Amino acid sequence: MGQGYLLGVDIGTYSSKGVIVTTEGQLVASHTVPHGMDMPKPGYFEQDADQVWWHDFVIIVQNLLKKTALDPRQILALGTSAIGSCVLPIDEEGNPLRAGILYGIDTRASEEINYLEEVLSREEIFNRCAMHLSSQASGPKILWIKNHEPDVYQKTRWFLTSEAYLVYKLTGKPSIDIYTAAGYAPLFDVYKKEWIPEIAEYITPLDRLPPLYWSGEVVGEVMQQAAQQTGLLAGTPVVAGTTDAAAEALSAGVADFGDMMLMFGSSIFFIIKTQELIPTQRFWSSNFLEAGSFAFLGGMSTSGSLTTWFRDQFALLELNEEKNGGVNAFTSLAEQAAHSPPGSRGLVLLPYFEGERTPLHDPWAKGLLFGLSLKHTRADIYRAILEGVAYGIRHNLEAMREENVIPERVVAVGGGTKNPVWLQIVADVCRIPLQVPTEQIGASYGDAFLAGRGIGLFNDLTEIRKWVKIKETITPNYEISPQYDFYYRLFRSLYDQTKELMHDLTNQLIK
Amino acid sequence: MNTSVLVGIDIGTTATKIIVIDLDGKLQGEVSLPAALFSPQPNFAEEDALQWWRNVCQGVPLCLQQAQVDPEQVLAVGVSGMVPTIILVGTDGFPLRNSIQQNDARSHVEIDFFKSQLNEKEVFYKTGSAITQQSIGPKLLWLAKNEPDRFAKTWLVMGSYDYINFCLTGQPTLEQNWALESGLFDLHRRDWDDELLSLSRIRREQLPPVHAPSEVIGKVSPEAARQTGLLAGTPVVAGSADHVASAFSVGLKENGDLLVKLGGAGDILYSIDRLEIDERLFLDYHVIPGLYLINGCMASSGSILKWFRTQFAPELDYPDLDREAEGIRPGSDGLILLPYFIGEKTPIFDPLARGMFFGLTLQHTRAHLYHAILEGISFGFLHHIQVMKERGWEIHRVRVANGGAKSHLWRQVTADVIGYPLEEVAHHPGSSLGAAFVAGMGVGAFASWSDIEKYISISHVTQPFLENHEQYLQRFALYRQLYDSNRSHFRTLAKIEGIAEQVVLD
Repeated sequence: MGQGYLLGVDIGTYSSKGVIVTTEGQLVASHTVPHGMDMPKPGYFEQDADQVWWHDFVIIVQNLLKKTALDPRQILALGTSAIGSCVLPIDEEGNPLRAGILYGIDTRASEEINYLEEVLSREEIFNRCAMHLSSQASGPKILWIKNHEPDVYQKTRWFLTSEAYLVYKLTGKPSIDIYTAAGYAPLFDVYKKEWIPEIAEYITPLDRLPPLYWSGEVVGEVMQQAAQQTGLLAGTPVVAGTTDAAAEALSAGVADFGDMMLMFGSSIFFIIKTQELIPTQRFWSSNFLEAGSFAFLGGMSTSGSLTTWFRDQFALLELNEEKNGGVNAFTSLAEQAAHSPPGSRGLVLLPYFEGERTPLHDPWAKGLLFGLSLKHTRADIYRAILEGVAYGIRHNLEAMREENVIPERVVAVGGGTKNPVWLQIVADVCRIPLQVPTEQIGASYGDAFLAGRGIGLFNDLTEIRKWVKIKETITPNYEISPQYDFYYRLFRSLYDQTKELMHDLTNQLIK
Repeated sequence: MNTSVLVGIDIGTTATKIIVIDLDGKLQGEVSLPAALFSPQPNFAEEDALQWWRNVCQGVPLCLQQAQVDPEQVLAVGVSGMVPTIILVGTDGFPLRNSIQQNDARSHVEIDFFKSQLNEKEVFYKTGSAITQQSIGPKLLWLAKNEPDRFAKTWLVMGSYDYINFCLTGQPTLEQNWALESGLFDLHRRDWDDELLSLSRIRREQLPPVHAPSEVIGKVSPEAARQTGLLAGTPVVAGSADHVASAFSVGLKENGDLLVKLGGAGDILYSIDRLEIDERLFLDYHVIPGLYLINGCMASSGSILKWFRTQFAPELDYPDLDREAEGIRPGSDGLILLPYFIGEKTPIFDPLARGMFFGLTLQHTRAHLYHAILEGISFGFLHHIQVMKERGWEIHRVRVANGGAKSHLWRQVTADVIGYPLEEVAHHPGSSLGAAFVAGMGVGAFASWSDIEKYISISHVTQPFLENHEQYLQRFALYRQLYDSNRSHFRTLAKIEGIAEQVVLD
């Protein structure tokens, strides 16, 4: 039968990705499938469970097996992750009753949030869930189904997340992992790690909520029918997965307490592993992937979305050059930005082009470019964008410190890490060294590791360290850091002094 | 061949311009010769007055030739120019050194000294001019301290066109706008202020007599006739400051007339029939007796559009950028620009202010930014208009001129923001026309100042959309608060950048 391998599959917002890796963490093959998202109404975001989630999974597994020419018996175990937390109602037979309602981008349940906060009290919810209700919370979305689609609600046997739906299709068993369950607020008590009976009457009886697992615990085995569809061997162990962000953190080597993943995606995302649950108004916190570990999370609204915006609006020449086989437009912009000095010759950018999440929680915040003069060049402005995001990261780190959360090791991942100028700016502005992993495979890599944990290949999740190699460490230049301090203070004051005007402007725009 | 003509000359920073006009509204000749600006040290701005005179000597015959007129057809000559420049004239009638230009910033130490010795507000209400880098007094003091020998040899002090008038006629004079802008002249007594003269180390007799623009100050001398080809005895008027002559040349002739200039900087000028002094605006004498010209200058305006194009759309020309921005809704979907890219002059007088884009989102495109720049500049003009309205000055008619007036989009945005119809003046020759007409008035060639309209053609009238204007008024309130909220940030930025010490802070 030969060597054994592990399989991991992650369902993202715009694409799904699967990998097959050796038990030492060596990547053997990967496969990616793009997909779309339905927006039936403004603020409504959905994906079809079978046509997107399960379909992608099947295609990916079939392709991986084909690419690697592995005997399915060589797949020792598999794990899944997905965007989260989503809500999918399924009936007694396991058939989806409607499309899956997506995570925080779907804002349909605002009335339900108001209702639940009224009847349960904001404080009480926070005391048990360690978070306030927002569009991220799944409880109000379940209530929305109950209120707006009573037929669906009546027929619902289980409410499942997207990664758990894959597990269900494979094993016939409902499940949810404890990290993701926090997203089912106000139904889940993050301290006791159990569904809350008193809240059931306001939303749904608890018997429609799936059994709880730690990530990497085996939920069941691949059933015959799923085996036929996917090409996997019946009987292959399937573990409880998790939300993509947590799987991503694992894949970046977040192993020890104090390890932080700094994700440079279209937005910035932070996950830090902590020794205890730290309830906070300004951030999010939850159980992490195994008993005794916790996660402290933050997220900004923009990052790569800003550099992409700038490239698409103002770097047509570079884009053309890239299309004609020349240098990548981002590389070329970064080189130009490197020639502008720290402080971008007196420019400060507030990156709140989409409002801001942590630590401001201000959806009405706006972008601002301050200090313009006729001497400024396009390169100065591009650098100001890179610096503005760095100031936002520093703001988050400082606010975390106020909560006594101090990262001891920061691993930077995501598309933005291809930009060495940006990484250096962030290191200098925040005075933190940034480690960049050799391989950035993403959440599916973490899923594969969880699968290995499930069948006892690893004693605990800290062994991910063996898998993740660090390519380089960007160290702060402490001579430059003080220069940024002035601009950073200005950055903070700019928001404080113009916040009201941002809100007034929003009021004018929605009138 | 018996038609009468007038000669207008303008002494500009980069060129000396000479025109010949007939009395019926036609331009008959136009010649331009380059002039050089010297900056021997940063902040210094100087020119060679003899080069201006050589340009006049060379250009007048060329222009007469182009217009196919004989010197005897010339009824009078008028000269306009930059103000207030300083020319130290020796007893031989030649300049003792290069001119010191109005934008020369060498005298900051002396400015501080003046401010320490004087009550600034009192000086302002007495002279109509604030103590700034433009003021003549501190510059004379600088000359006295740094070039004592030359200063001691000074027979007379004159301005740019006053010196050309002196070359033409041998009569030393000053036009009243030099007196006003010098900051040494008591407007209410119409006489030099002795305290200010003494601080400037200048004696009363070193300042030639002050004249109104259309007063005939002398006749072309035989020597000047030989050099310029003009007929000896041709009358010469006192002339006027370039921006004053230029404003008149596009038809600012009655109380309530407003002019918006869409150029590199943003000038706005207003005719008023009484002396009113406001610390937020500049004041000049109009060329028409009894009128004053209140004016404002935004340090950057079209220069921001040029910057934007150079940095972000080098492949496009302005008409392309206009087309791209035409579909953008009024208000640029929530984007607001503060146009203070090189600090601001009127009405906030803040050299440390900087530009700012406010309200940015990922939905904004390059076209939004361009449109927001047009709106930001227009808000700057509206700010001036609000100051005027606050003073109770009525606006009866608004004209628009200069390069930007050719852009339909820029005109429409300006009209919508300020809420007045804009009459666009097509290709006018500028201050030299004003100078020539003033010369004509001096010798009775025209029945009335209103005859200037013969030379003006209106190419478009742009009507404002009132619903857009209403919306802009709301946005303008945010624009104003945006500056107030960030005033201290501009000071912080200047400190970080280390430029705070170099700029005279208010």
